[in-house]
Amino acid sequence: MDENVILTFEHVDYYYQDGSRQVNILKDANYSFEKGKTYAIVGASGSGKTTSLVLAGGLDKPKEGHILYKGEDIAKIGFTKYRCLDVSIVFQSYNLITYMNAVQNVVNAMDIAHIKVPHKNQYALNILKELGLSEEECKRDVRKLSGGQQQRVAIARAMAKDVDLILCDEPTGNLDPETSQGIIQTFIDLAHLKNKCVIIVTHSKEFANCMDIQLQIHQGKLEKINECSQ
Amino acid sequence: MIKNAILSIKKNVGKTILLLVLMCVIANLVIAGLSIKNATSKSMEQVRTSLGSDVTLTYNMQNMMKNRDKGEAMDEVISPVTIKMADQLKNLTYVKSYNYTVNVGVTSDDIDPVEVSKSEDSSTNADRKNFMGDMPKMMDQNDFTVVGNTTMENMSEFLNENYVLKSGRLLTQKDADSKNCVIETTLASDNDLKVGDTFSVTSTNADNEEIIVKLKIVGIYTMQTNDQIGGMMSNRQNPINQIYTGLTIAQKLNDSTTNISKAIYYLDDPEHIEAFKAKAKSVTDIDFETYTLDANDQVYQRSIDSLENMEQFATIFLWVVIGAGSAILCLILILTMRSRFYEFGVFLSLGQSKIKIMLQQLFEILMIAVVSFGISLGTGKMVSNVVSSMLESTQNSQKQVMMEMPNEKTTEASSGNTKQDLFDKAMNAPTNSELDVSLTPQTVIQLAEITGLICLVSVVLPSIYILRLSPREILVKKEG
Repeated sequence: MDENVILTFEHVDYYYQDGSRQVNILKDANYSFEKGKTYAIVGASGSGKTTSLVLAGGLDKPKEGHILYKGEDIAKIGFTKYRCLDVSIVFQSYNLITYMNAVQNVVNAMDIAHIKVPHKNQYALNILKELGLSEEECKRDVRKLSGGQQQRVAIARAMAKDVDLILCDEPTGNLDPETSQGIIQTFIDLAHLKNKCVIIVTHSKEFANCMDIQLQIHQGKLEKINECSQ
Repeated sequence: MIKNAILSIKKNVGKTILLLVLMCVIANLVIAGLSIKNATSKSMEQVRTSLGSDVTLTYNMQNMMKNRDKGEAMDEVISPVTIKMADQLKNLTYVKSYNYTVNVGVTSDDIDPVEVSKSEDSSTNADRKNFMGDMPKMMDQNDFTVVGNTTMENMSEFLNENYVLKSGRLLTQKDADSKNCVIETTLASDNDLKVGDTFSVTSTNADNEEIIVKLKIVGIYTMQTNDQIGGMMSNRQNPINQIYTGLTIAQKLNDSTTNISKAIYYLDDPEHIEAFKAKAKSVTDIDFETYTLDANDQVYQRSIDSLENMEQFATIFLWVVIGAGSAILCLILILTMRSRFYEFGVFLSLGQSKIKIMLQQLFEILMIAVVSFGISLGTGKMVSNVVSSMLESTQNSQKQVMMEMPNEKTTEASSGNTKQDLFDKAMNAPTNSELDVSLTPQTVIQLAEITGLICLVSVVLPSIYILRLSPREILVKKEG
């Protein structure tokens, strides 16, 4: 097996029941994601982009087939353990804990992943500052931050976990073009400089064009539609 | 986990206060239930011990009357208890001590009895003898009753303080062969007797021979109750004219070393009464058609029945409180959990285990429970005082009904329940120690256990409801 392959979709099926009708989302989807690369999954709404991300993040089980992380089925690793130690997810709706401030949200994610660094709060604060939040904003109730600021807290939380696989669902959806550009660069750096695999679901063609590989879901299958040569 | 729990409690003040108030109410109700339960158990224990655990071997009057031929005199029918019979029981298990009693009617030339009626008092001795001579069978000629005992230490009259020793001492087993006696204070003062004085008593045996014994006073007691005085036909029946002696003297006066009036066995625990009776029937040759073992436990059974009812009520009340409390707490938590769907989903997506998520919830609720527990220990004391006062007044009114003698004081107390009274009751411990429902360490531990159980159920049920879903389903639900 290729050592660079970090995540593999192996004959993955996913469907749901709509009354008596079975709606297929993924049908025999196969694809291998590699370390050091950024991926954009594009496509129309309802095509199965988010479902692919959810399955890759171990938030749900495929109906058929397997998803392998570094060659091992994530069901065997254990979904909770996999989510805890091997993957970071940035949600479209941020999914922050509302009774914590930005720093506490980041530190909480580190605690769950058993990440031990000296001065955790300062470490979290630095990541947030790198993403453009001020110290005052970092200690403010997250509900009082703007959508863009919350998005950056969610990204900081994913970065703080220091895992090899980062999954993002519309990470720049709520950001202004300037901040978006900064975030995109952060993800590219994580992949190219820190050898991580970043998989992003996006509607933004601009964003998708910045990624190394663009995929789409066609008839339930993951298909490569474009690859940027570096 | 604990850090998150504290953060959550601090940020959701409204929910925290709601849960705190609710848990205080539940804890106070649990305390009330536990207090009643403990108080009734304690009362049952006290009733058991206060009523004593003595069983009396005596003849079965009912059966003897049934077997009596028409016209037959009672003393011909009655067959007294023998020492041989009584001795068979004294070494049985459960028997702590025993007392054999012999009652003998005697007269005395040295002392005068305390007369029962004035008419008797005003008549001369000769008149009285003539009067008695006319009705020899109806009236007892003896002025005194010598009551011989193995020991006076366990006599209920003295234990219940109906009789109180005024001077000297009571008779013990050491006085068995002595000529010592104990008399009542009125009898002593009427005859200018004191401890150390002597007097003679005379009995007559079946052959009309006189048996004279000189007795020495070693103790004088006072009767604290008048209950037993009245309705007596003769001086002899007057308890004041009873002379307590050792068993040997009474047997001598009775001219019989084999017969006794009754044998009382003091058991180690009232609970063993039935077992003792059963054992007595199986291991001895005593004819229990003719003789009976009377535990005098009807009063005990009656009291126990009402206390058992109360205990049963307290148990049901407790279960209702626990059930209703858990249900209300569960519902509130389920309602608040709906807003925590999101939080659960986020924690799961971050890789937090389900157990740890549940534990965080449990920590949160336990922290609130600990505070409410602390508050309830203070307020619970007041609740239990109120409960005990209510129980006390219920008992008083029950007593009033039973005795058909309304007591002015208790009527006032039960009718004048103003707010101030209630407050006073809450702040002051009850005066009746038998109905002490104060918080015991046992109650506190039970309260902690029950509160813990309610918290556990209230957290686990709604948590399982959410955590059975996959993180995706939870997050989708939240978004929906």
